[in-house]
Amino acid sequence: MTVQLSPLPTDHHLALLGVEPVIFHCHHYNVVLQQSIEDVATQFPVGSIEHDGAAIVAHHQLSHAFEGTDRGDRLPFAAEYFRLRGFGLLDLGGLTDQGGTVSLRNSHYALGFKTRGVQRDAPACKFACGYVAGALAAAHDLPAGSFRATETSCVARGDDGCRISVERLPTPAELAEPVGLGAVPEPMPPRPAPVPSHIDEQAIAAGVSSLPLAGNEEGLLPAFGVYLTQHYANYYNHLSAGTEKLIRDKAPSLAAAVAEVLGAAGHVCAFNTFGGIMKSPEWYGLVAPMLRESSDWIYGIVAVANCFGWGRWTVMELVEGERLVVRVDASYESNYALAAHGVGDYPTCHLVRGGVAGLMNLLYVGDIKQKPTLDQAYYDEIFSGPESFQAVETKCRSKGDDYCEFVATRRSW
Amino acid sequence: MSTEEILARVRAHYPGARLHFVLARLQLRVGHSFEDPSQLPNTPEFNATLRRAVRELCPEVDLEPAR
Repeated sequence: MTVQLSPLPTDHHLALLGVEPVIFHCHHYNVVLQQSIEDVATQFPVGSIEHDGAAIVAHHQLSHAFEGTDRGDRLPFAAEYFRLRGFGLLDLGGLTDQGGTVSLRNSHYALGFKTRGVQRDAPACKFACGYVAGALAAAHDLPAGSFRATETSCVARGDDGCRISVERLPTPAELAEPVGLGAVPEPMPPRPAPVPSHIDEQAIAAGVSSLPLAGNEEGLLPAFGVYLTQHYANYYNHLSAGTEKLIRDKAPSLAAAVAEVLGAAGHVCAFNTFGGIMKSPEWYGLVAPMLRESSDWIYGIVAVANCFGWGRWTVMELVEGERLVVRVDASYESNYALAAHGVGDYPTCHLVRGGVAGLMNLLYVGDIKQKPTLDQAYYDEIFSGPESFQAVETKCRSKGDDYCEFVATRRSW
Repeated sequence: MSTEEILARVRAHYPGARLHFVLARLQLRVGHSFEDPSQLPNTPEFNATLRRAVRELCPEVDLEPAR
C-alpha cells in the first residue's frame, strides 16, 4: 500500500501525503527552530513538545494509511517513508507492541546540528523519537500516546550512533487532536492580479515538480546546498504555535521575544534555502532565462516558493530596494493556528515573515546574483547590517483577516 | 559583574538584527523581558542564570571583569 497525494486543488499550493500536509524545509530551519524551543524549555514547561508533536502527526497519517494493511508491512513502510522524506535510516526491526530499541543512521537532525557547528550535550533527534512512537502506535492500532521514545545515544553529542529506546506506557498519554489540513479557506479566493513580471510561474511550477526531491539511499535529501526534508507542516506548527501560545499565556512580556526567534528561523531558512536555490544549476537552467530585471529574481523565487506547500504567495507590490508586499492565501501556519486555537489577536505566520524579509536582504542588501558563499559571515553581513530589511505581518487569517500579508522595509537600527 | 554590565557587553558586541535575535534568545533563556531592566530580579541566582546563558549563546562576549 502506498501513501497517495490527495487530490487537493492545486491553487491552494499545499501538498498532502495521506491526511497530513507536508512542506519542504532545510536543516538550518529545522535546527534553529528546535534551538528556539529548547531556549524556551529552560524556563517554561513546554514538556515533550517535539516528541508529542511528531507522534501526533505520524500517528494520524500512518494510522489512516495502515487501514486494511497487513501488520507485517507497516513498520517497514514507516521506515521507508522516513527515508524518502530525508530524515535518515531507521531500523525498526527490534520493536514489538511493548516497545524495544531502534537504531537511526544518518539522522537529519544530528547531521544538521553538526553541520551548523553546534556541539550538543543532549541528544538531538527529538522528531525521530516522536515519529517512532507514533508510527509504532499506528502499526498496532493503538492510541497515539501509547509509547514514549527516548534517544539514549546521539551522534550530535559525540556518541558513535543514534539509538532510541521505546517503552509502552501503562496508560496512553493524552495528546492533542490532529488537525490535518487545518482551516483551509474554502473556496480558495481567486488569485489577485500579481505585479507584472517576466516570470512564467506555470513553467517554473512544472519544472520544480519534476525535480527528484526525495531521500537517497542514505536517507538524506541534499539539494541546493542544504539538507532538505519533506516534513510535516503540523510538526512545525505544533512547535511554533504551541510555544508561542504558552509564552503568551505564562509570560506575556516575552511575546515579542518568542516572535523574534520564530521569525529569525524563517530568516535563516530564506538565506540558506532561497539563497541556495538562487545559486543552483536548477535555477540557472529553469528560471534564469526569464530574468530581465532585478525584480524578476523576487518573482522567480516566489514562484518556486509556491511549489513548497507553504500556501499561495502573490507579490502585490515591489519597490526595488525599498519595499515588498506579499499576500499569502492558505498559509500553512494560519491553517493550523485557526484550526487548533481559533481566531486570536496576534499574527502567527513567522516563517513567512522571516522569509519575505530574507528575500529582500538576499537581493538588495547582499547580491545573490553574484553567487556569494552562504556562510555565517555573509549572513551576519546582510541580515544585521544597518539597512537590512525586516518584515511585519500586517494581516493574518489567525486574527480574522481574509488572508495574510507581509510588508518588508528597511529598518534603521 | 552586574546584570546591567553583562547586558551592556552583549549590546556592545552585536549589530542590528543580530542583537535583536540574541537578546530575544537570552530573554527566553532567563524567563524575563529586558524591556525594563529595573524589573529584572536583583538576585545572585538571576545573575548566574544570565551569565550562563550568555556563555552558552554568546561565547564571543567577554564576561571577564574590566582590569
